[in-house]
Amino acid sequence: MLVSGGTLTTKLGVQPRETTMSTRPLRMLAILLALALAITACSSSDDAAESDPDAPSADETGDEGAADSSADAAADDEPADQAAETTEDDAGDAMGPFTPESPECVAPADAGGGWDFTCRSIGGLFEDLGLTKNVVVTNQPGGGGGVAFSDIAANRSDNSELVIAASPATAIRFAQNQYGGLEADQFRWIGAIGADFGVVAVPDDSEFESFDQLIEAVKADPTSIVFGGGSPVGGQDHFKVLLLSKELGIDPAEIPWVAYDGGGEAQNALLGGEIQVATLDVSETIGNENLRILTVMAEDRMAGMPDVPTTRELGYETIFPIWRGLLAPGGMSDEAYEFWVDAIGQIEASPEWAAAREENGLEPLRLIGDDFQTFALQAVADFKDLSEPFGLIAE
Amino acid sequence: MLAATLLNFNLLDGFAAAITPTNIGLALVGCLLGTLIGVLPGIGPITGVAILFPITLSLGLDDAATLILLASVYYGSQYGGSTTSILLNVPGEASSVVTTLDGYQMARQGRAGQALAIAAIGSFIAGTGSVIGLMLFGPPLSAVTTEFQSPEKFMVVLLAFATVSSLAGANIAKGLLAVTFGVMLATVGTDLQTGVNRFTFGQLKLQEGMDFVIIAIGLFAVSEVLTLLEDTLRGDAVVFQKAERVWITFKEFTESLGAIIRGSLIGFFVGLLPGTGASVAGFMSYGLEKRLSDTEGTFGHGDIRGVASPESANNAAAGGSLVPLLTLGIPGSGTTAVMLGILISMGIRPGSGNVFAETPELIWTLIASMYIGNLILLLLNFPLVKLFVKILEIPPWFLMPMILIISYIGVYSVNNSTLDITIMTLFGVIGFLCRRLAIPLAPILMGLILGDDLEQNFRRSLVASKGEYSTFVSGWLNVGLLVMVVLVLFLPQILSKLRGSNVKDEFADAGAEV
Repeated sequence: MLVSGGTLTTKLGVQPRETTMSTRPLRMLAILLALALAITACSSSDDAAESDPDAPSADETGDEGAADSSADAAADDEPADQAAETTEDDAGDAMGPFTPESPECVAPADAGGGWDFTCRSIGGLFEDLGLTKNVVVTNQPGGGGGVAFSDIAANRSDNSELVIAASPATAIRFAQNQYGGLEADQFRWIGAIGADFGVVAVPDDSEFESFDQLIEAVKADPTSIVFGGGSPVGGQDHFKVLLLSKELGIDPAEIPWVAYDGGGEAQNALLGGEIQVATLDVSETIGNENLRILTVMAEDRMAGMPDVPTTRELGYETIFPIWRGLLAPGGMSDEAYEFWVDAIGQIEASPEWAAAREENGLEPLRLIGDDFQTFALQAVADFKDLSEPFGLIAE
Repeated sequence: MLAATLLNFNLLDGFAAAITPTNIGLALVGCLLGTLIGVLPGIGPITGVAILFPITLSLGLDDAATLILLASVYYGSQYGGSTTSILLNVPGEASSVVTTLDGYQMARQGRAGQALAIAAIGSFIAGTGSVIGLMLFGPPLSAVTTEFQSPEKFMVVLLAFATVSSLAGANIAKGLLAVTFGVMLATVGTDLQTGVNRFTFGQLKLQEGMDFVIIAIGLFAVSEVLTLLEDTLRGDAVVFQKAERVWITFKEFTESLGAIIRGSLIGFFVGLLPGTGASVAGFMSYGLEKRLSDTEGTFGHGDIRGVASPESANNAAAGGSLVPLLTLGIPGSGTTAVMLGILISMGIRPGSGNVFAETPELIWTLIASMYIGNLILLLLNFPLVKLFVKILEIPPWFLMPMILIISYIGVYSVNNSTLDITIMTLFGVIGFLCRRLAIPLAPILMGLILGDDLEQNFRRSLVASKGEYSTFVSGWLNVGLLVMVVLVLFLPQILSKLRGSNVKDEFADAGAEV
């Protein structure tokens, strides 16, 4: 482009602007430049459109079309789903059981977070294990996932090729009605495989040597010890405190809680002495010599923290797994749901997932299909009970 | 500690990372685009960086490449701005306003080539010096910030707000007004300390707050187009001066070397102050150089030192302002505010951690790329300056819609959201009104980016201290910061004593544009 501009022979001097002859090549140059920019800018939205499996591909119109009409009529209308299956059986014998043509995993957040990790690691294994074609990962950030969930519920609720990354944060936000009126049972919960766990941490020079010691102090005067963590009030890290205080019969509102922007900031505050106790995750704290982990909020001890007792060992009921899982639009056909449940089950059992899991500090977990659906809805109900007294449930 | 830093050779790793064909290519593209943006009237570095950010996102570049591209655009636009100051008496951006004083006079005397050459050389020397300064000051200062707790972080933000409102505009009240407006914008979204959604009007997207890129493009790019539109309707004409051959003699170089070195030093240290940017540095260094060297009254009549000094200073300040940016998370200008927003969106949070220790590869790559960018610009500007000036012949009827198109496509491509488009347009109008009322725009952006820190750290401090306000004056760090806040609010009076009187009015004008 610059070479073409370089052919200009006009001198710099007092060149009046009206001389259109000399400016024409320059206009061309500017147009080219702007077009180049515009095209690159457009390319992302093109990508999004390409990866959008809303448009049924030609060879799939049989089952896709049937699923469309059934789900449009009523998302959770069982007879209609049955009808869809029947149609599929009729038309799809030659094609065999359901396989997604252009599978997609929506991470309802920016790249780099936990949901993004779920889509990229689990999503990648679908293809690696020969279960599906390449799973396209779409990042749809906004509203703590709400933008993605409301978009999917409104426009793609009958999509059988689409899965969404989920974690306890998803359940919490459903519980607090943060997803624009959507309910957790409007989605189909596929499975959770692998979990991080909550920890209760103090600085290594803290007066608290054991978890019991800390609990005694909190019981004696709930206002005396300042807790903090990397989530807002009513977020994941705060719920670790809320669940414990509920079990202990302490009014959770009395325990001072400072919310930080992420676990890293909370650790800095803990080590700097601003807060006395932080509730964090195993993956955030593993290997940090400056911290003393009083307990892991789990049943069994962590491989990476063999010396740290779990809450169950210490005689408490509360555990806090930060599970990594997938859910699907409510209108997904039963056959497609079975496919995804089966596929995620195969991934869970694979050595590839075991390796990816360990690399990212996740413990094994297998909660798939109906088990996961029941578990997730129960979790949402529990979170709802705890959120209510804090006025955290959106109107 | 300083020696240890130098021996660390982190910069070499940065160079190794930056010197890949792709990255050099990106730096080249960034420098070219930046220079074009700087040359275009009224369209400054902030607009350039802001409208290019969404586009780089959609290119799918990795974080380091994005930073390299945007930093090159920043540097390029600084250079481009001085070109138009000299040849047209039209500063492409606020930091080169003072360059017009002697630069345009030189051009009228037929010495435009020398003026352009010394601007390029001075900028290169200053840029290089400030990279060294950044290496020296950055890591140790950054290590200190890990000691900061919520009260200290609150105080640092307060200091930045005090500096920006007292220096960004002619009128401290307008500066404070702008900052406050920005802080108000920052309250939109989910409040960390209560978990409650504020001012979201049922929009899920707003739960995560106002997106600074959208606000920045609206405030700067859209409002610039509106302002240009108004100026064009009024029919302001400009007259070109010729630049036949861009070169200087060795004598002219040695004559200016003192001014370049002094300008670099002043620029760097002014850049260090949180909240002050390149334009302040240019004025301060010109004022000082004039007092020091103007024995024959040649300043203002085409003295080469009057170009060398501010051009070195504003470039050095750009490097210097990266010190508070990368260590405290406090931007020194509108452009660095945009850069901070970009860093935060990449998950790098200067100020709440030691970025030199936590993400060294990215930070040192950025620093190395600045140096490479400086070199590219020096090499580019000598042969291509004539071509760049040709850009000025692009008629406004073409240019203005084009900027709008790029802005709108860019913003839409970030989230594919029409709400973003609406917000951007709204802020375009707000930005236009602010310009007409001489309310500086950069503090609004800074308020938006840092407002959350101000509020959250204030409330964290009080929860942690169980409501004791004395937590804000406990410890020498807090007291020191508080003293600085008070000092800074009186800094304009101190500065006006340092500056020449004729510069003062210019400064007021430039401040309104920052």
